[in-house]
Amino acid sequence: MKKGDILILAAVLILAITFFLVTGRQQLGEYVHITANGKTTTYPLNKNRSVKFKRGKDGQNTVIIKDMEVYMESASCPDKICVRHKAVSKNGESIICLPNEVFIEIESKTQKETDN
Amino acid sequence: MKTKKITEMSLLLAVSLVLSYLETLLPVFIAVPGVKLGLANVITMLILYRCNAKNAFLFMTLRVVMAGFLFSGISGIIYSFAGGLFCILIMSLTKRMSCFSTLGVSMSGAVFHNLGQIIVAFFVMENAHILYYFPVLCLSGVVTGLAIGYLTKLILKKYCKILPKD
Repeated sequence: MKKGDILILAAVLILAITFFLVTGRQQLGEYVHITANGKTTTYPLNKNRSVKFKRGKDGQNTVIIKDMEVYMESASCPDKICVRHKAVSKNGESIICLPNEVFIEIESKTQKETDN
Repeated sequence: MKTKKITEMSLLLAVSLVLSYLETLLPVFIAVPGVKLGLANVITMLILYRCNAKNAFLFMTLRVVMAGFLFSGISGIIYSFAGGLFCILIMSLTKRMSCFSTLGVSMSGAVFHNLGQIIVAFFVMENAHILYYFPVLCLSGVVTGLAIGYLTKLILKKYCKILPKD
């Protein structure tokens, strides 16, 4: 084995291990739990859809599930923090609309299985 | 191309097709998608070392088309060709550098083979998440590359004894 061979082996091993360490905790999600009006509903991420939630007279949130990502398209809340939040797709990521009490959380099934 | 070379190449092509078939019989490597031993790469490297990159490319194209029709189907050909192209490009490059032996050449080839395939998969599936799979393929690539490189080293020695370069 020559010097270059060892170099390639080491470089690839280090890169791959670093990648696993960095992304290990950030598994891609498979499901999204959306809590609105105190009720939690779970949707699979692999099906595109848009879900509307109403709260009181004019409270409204629209959540879009698209291409394995979830984002808040529109919200009646004043600060619009949830709308500006980037789309979430990884295990444990969440979007929260505090004024309207809408809570979006991503979960991967595989993660749940290892927990059990 | 001389008749002698054509005969040699077609003989090697037949051997590589048998190797491709043998590989489909190994259940361990079918279990994980994309992970392959790459036995046929022994022959590609043999040609790369004995002839040149152009011949290796020609050989790879023929092998991919034939093996594709025999074992994996049309869509498999696209993946294999992209992988083979990347593989030969990097192998002809690393072969020229004196700091790499057949082991390094084979490892770089395996990793780039996987890179080529995953790039095609990225465009076919239009899904960026598939790129997360690349590190897994990198790991398997260096391991199988190491084995194939060592095998090539042994075979190259014997092969050149039986059939000296002209």
